[in-house]
Amino acid sequence: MVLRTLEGPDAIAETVLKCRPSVISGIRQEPLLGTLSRLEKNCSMYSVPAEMITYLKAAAMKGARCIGLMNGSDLASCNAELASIATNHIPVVLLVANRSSFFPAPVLCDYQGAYQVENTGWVMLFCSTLQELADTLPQAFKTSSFTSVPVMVFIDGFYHTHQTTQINIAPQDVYDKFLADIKIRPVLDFSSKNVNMESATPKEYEKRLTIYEGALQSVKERIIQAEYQWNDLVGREYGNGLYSTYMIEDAQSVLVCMGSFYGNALEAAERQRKLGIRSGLVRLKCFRPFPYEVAEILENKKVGVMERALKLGSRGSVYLDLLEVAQGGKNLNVVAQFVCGIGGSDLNVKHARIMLEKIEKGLRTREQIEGN
Amino acid sequence: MPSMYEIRIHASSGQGATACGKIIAAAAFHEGKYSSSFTFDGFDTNDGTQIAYCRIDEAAIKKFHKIAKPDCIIVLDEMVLSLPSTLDGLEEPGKVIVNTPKTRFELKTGEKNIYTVDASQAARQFMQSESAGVAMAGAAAKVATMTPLESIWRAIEEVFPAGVTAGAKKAAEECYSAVK
Repeated sequence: MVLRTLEGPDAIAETVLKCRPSVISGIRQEPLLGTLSRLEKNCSMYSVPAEMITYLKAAAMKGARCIGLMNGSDLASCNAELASIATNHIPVVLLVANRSSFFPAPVLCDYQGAYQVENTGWVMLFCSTLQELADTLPQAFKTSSFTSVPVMVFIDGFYHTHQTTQINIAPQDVYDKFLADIKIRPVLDFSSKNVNMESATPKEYEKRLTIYEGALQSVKERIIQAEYQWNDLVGREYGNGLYSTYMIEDAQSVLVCMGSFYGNALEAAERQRKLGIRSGLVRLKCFRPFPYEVAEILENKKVGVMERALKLGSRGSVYLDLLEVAQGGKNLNVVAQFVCGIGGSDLNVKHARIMLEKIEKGLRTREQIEGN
Repeated sequence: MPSMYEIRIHASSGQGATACGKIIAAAAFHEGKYSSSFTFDGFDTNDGTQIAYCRIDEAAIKKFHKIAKPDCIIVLDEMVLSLPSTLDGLEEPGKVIVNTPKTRFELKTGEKNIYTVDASQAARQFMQSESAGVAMAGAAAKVATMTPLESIWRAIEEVFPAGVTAGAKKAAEECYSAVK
């Protein structure tokens, strides 16, 4: 395995192809324009997002290994289709480049689009680096096919897609070895009378959703398993697959964040440590299903949450989830909620340091921090 | 050179700011360093300018954000130099490299460490192109990142398709020797 300097689009395209999907489809828009140009020969292009999702759904129902590439702003327009894929247990993988979604939107990165589809029943994994994407995508295929639950893998538009950096993409045989045992069970069977799309009675509907919720919660075990299996093959580790931590054991104040901002937060936390301030970090990789297990390591600490999306008329999803844990008997002191980086405004190490300082002071606050 | 070297590249759209960043990043890797180059504009900005960023470090680079205080600013279009934000955040002993036929004394920017090179001319002559980014990477290698020309050549071979590498290499070499 060799470290190479690769452009973001090249790295993403190479990773996608190494997973050997039989169906690749995409929507040619920034920030995935470069990636889809490189995948042109292997990819079917769509202009209507819901059309692409329906196509993927049909292909996966016939037993194909499918991946779709799209940007975050298009996700909300296929909300119903996404929910239908999930509740029918169809294993599709989507690679989504985060991009702001409300009109008039700059095409830069925020998680508004992801938050809009958070309860469609998909597994949502957020990568913090391009390297992590190269390691997460095969895991997404494996998790998805083993559990028949669809998986979205998120990267940050422009931060990852337009970056040139050193990446170590594992050789083809490692991908093949890892994905050798996956088999997608065709859901669509015309010979049987089991028609999935039939309308259901309220009882059947409730039962179906309850079963799906159970399946979604049990996916976490598979995610952890896939992470450790991949780690054994390539020797790179990203926490336990659900979340990763930095200096959490003796930390007094902890910032919980997602995505590419983790790199900046790491630098800020390292500086705080040099000053003798016991700061720690938790990066959520798995956003849905929410890893409630994280509460155990956050016990007796001051916790702040950074979210790159503004939930209109409500509070941030991660914040609410952690509050729920805190009320469920765990001694979790969730003090601060930071909403920042909306519309792609740039957040640097200084912003991360400000957040860590406020958490350390124990300020009970909900504020919006403006980026550059 | 400080532990992390940060470069900001200003250009008009289409002049090769992104390519310049990529080549500098790839060349630094051949010198045993980690690098990261990125841009936030996959499209034209309101004023038609484009900014690319490049970080070089001995250790793996963790941070992802725009560079506010660069160690070096590369200006691919002399017109962009007159914009107030172009030289923002540059502190001593930060360097400025400008693509212009003028000499450093004719530019009158008030910066001490300013270097000039006619990269557009080199690009026209050797690459039959108006995109000066690649040629400018040669100048940056000599003045800013202290990278040998061979590493720039290797980077060009990686980034560009085989047909155009010969001209690009010559343009970079020309700028490497002509920058002052």
